[in-house]
Amino acid sequence: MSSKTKENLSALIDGQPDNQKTMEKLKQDPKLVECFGRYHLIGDAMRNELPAQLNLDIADKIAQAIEKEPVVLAPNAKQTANNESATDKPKSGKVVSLFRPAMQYGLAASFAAALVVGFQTEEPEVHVPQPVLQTFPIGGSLDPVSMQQVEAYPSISSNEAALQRQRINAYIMDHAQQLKTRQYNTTESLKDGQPEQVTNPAN
Amino acid sequence: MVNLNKLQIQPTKFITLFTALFDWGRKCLTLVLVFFSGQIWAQSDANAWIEKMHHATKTLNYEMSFVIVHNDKAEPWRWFHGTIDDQEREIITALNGPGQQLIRKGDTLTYLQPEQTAYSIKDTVSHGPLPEILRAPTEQIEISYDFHLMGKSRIAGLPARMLRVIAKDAARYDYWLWVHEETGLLLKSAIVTKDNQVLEQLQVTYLQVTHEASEILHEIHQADLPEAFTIKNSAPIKSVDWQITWVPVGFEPVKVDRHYLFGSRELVDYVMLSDGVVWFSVYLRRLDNEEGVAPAALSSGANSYLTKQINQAEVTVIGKIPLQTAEKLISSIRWD
Repeated sequence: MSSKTKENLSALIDGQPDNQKTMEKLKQDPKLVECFGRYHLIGDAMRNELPAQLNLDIADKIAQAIEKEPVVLAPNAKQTANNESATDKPKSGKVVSLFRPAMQYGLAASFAAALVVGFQTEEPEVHVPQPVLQTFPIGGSLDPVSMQQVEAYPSISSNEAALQRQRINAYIMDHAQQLKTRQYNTTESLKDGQPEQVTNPAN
Repeated sequence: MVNLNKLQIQPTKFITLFTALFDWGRKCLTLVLVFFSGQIWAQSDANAWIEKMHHATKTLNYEMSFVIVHNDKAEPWRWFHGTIDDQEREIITALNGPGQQLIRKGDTLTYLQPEQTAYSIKDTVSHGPLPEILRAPTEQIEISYDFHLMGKSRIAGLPARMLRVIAKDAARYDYWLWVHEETGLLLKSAIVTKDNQVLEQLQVTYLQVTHEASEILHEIHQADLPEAFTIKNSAPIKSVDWQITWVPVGFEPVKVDRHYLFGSRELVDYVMLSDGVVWFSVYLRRLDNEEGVAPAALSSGANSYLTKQINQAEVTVIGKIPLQTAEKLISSIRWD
């Protein structure tokens, strides 16, 4: 606590206009509060206004009184939350496993409601050039948001951008869907009916 | 005049020279033999490690935490795996963002994802955060890649062996794998370009191998999972008038069909190509006469996305292959 602060405090007690800073400091510093009490006491003594009995830990008394005051405006959110969880805990009995599939399903469904899927917008004016957020793929390997323009190619003009982005999303989603339905031993089954259009020249 | 005498080699000297040469040759031969057998040995050793990794991945009971790193993203996952009543079970869960989960119960896979109804599929290659090389048959990988056993290192606090799975051509990426010395489980993997640029990584941060399968895996049994359906391989289409005249060696078409693009009303011809380690898609969408498509190329981690207009069609290639491969493939498309 600097002497400057003490000076300001003294000035405040003497009824000089406060610059607000001192008040703020007073609120935060308990030592300054003690000082505040002492200065008043000195003032009282000088003015001969001391009571017959002195109670020096008045600041503490006031602090306690304030704590007992009912809170009117802002309820102590933290405390309420704590109380709630404290009463909830015994009810649930067992901690629900984070990895229980059914739980996850519920979670996934609720997330779904919050998500906007870009390409499903039916309005004539497409206002969502933003790629689909947080969609597939499981594995996160290919996520439209994370795609980066390759510099060698010209960036898409804003006119076509919306439409093209939608299509890119659709392709990426489709690719992910295809990856989920691929099989290991398909080459064998395809060999008989090997499509004409895909030739693999021995090179 | 040249003095011929000087060129004459005295018999004794000749013999010494010959033996010396012979000796040197023999040394060389031994060296070469040692070198080659060493190479072969290292090769088969690397194969053994790959086999060990495959076996460990499919049979052991373990719990892992790992992070997938690509571009500027890091995605944490948790993986429970075990065998219960001779049936393989696993749960792979995304720890960030909306819940994504992959559940394996024997040969049935269930995908739980946001904005999609949960579904189960039988007998498919799982599509998750783990690299397919973890489960691909070794004989299949060997067709297009060479295995190299590298040094020892310490990964996730455990002693590890490094394996390099090097593509035989530049048309695909290399894989670097670090496996746990003791169990053979994967501790780290990377998809790497031919210039040794790392595109995607998987890093295990926690591994616990247990005697019994985790309690969570027992819960799968009680979980109310969607009924599994079997994918019938789509019938190859014969009536198309286009062909891909170049695909990288070892890639085979694993799926060919014509379908509506996911979530849209656009019909596309579709070909999926795979070498057993990498899968990528080729789409061909016919354009109306007045419609034109601007070329676009995007990349994310090891994934490439390339769209180009070829005649009156929009051709799109997506997958974990270099952009150059996609470009070469697209430009090889011909019409009858």
